[in-house]
Amino acid sequence: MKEMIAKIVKLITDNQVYRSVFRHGFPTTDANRALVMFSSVVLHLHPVRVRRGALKIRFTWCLGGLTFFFFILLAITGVFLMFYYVPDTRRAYNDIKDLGTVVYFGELFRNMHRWSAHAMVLSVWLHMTRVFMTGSYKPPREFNWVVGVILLVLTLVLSWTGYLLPWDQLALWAVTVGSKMAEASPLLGSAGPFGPEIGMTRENDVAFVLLGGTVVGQSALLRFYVLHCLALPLVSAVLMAVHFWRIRKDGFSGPL
Amino acid sequence: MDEIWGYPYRLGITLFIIIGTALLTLGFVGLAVWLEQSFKKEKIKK
Amino acid sequence: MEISERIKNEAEKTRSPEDTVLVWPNLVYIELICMLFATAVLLLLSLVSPAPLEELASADTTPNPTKAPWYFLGLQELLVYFDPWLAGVVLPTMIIVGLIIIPYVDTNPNGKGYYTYSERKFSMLGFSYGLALWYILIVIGVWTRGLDWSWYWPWSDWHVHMSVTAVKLVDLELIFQNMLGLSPDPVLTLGRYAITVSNIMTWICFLGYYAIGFTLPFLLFRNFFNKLGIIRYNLVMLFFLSMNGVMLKMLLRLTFNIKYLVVTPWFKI
Repeated sequence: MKEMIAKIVKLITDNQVYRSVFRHGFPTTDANRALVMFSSVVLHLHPVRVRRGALKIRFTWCLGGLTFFFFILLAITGVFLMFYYVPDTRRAYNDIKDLGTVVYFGELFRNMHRWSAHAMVLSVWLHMTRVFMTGSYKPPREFNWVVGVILLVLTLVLSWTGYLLPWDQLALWAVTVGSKMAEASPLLGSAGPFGPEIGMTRENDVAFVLLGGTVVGQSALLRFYVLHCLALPLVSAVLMAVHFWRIRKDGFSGPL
Repeated sequence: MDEIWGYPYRLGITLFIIIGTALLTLGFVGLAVWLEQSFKKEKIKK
Repeated sequence: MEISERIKNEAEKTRSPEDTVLVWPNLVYIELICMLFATAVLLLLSLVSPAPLEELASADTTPNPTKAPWYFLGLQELLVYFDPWLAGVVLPTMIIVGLIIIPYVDTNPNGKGYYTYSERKFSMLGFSYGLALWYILIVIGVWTRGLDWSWYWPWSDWHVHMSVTAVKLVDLELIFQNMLGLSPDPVLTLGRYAITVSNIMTWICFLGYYAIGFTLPFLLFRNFFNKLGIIRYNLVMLFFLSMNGVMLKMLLRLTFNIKYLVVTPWFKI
């Protein structure tokens, strides 16, 4: 039995096609296990060896990795949802209803998207708590913490911009609450301290910039859609790249 | 919104906030202490 | 020491080649199991609990209550105690800036890379307290706020509007004025701002809180000040006092019905 499996494996891996893709054998020897970290783009994030202490789940609880994983899940389910959704106030709501009824697996993808979003927000808070409790932000890792806080803010804004897209009552008024707060900004908002004094009105303050108008309407929906699907994920991806890069460069902070 | 601050509620709300915050703070600190102990115990066992 | 030197020393101190294992299969398998577990949980949740969808958005009808998503309910709850410019802009900004400067004001060399409470009590307590405040506000926003943003205990009837038992909220300024019998005439007028003696007293209270807060630890916990140095000390105390100030103002409002501590024509705290 074992020989048959070995023969099948050799058949698959010992030919030009396989070698052109993977360039080495399956990582069953130590040499291959080292090589795979260099030659695989998905795995190149990892070092070849890691301290035994880094494997302790009780140390990191996999929280950072889970946050990244949820981000990937959100991207994949999000792309699926984008096929069926148009950010037009006249049809956005019906598109979401279609996803729940006539689109195959539509409901599953929408639910996965929403649960991954909540999970990502939760895991990013827990990850920050863990990093603080293990002091893994202390020198020389200060800047990575700053990048992490910015990623936290981006996660929350991503979640909030996505909230508007179904265009139901919950979405509209949740965003209205937020834009009223923006309007109350000091100096930048038309309803905030010193805002009117320097010429801020509802037509030119920061809430107007956010919504593309004075009410939460079509412009706001389009803006939030572009932010949610394109601009913010791009910025997050770049910052995540910096974040992971710094982790590799500064090394694992944990126990031996 | 200001009208809802009737007396029977205010005491309960105040206690809820103070005790809730205290419990959560102790919870987080307790988590750190528990993890500190568990790692130390493992080190000693080694 | 140069930064690259510092990093090399750190790495040397902690690296121990005989204690390392190959990432494949050890770490990679842990990651795979984690991802499978997370996917399984999410799938289960997706099948069991569908995403909500309320009625079509309509600018004519406002749902009661209008709640922000749960991770922002903390801020929305703060709106009860603070004006929108504070609750929605200044305080969140301070939270974010406060988080960002943590590594730069933390001079305690202990606790790097392991869990400890005993070696870093102030930072752990401070951070846990901040987290606790944030979470308790979310808990309140999710589970005790109902119609008209009134307080509903879990056993109350959430479909009935709370009876309007009007409690008069008063500004600290008026309290001083009535308690001390001060005159309501302004002693100084700057444009729209008519400054009365009681107004000045409220400013003294507000600024005095920070003044006392900055100087007391300086006098009583001198080695705390020395460890931080003057810049870090001021930053730490500013954010720490503000965080406690939020809690204090919430309690003042609940127990003494104080709505605003300081009133000017442009902003109210």
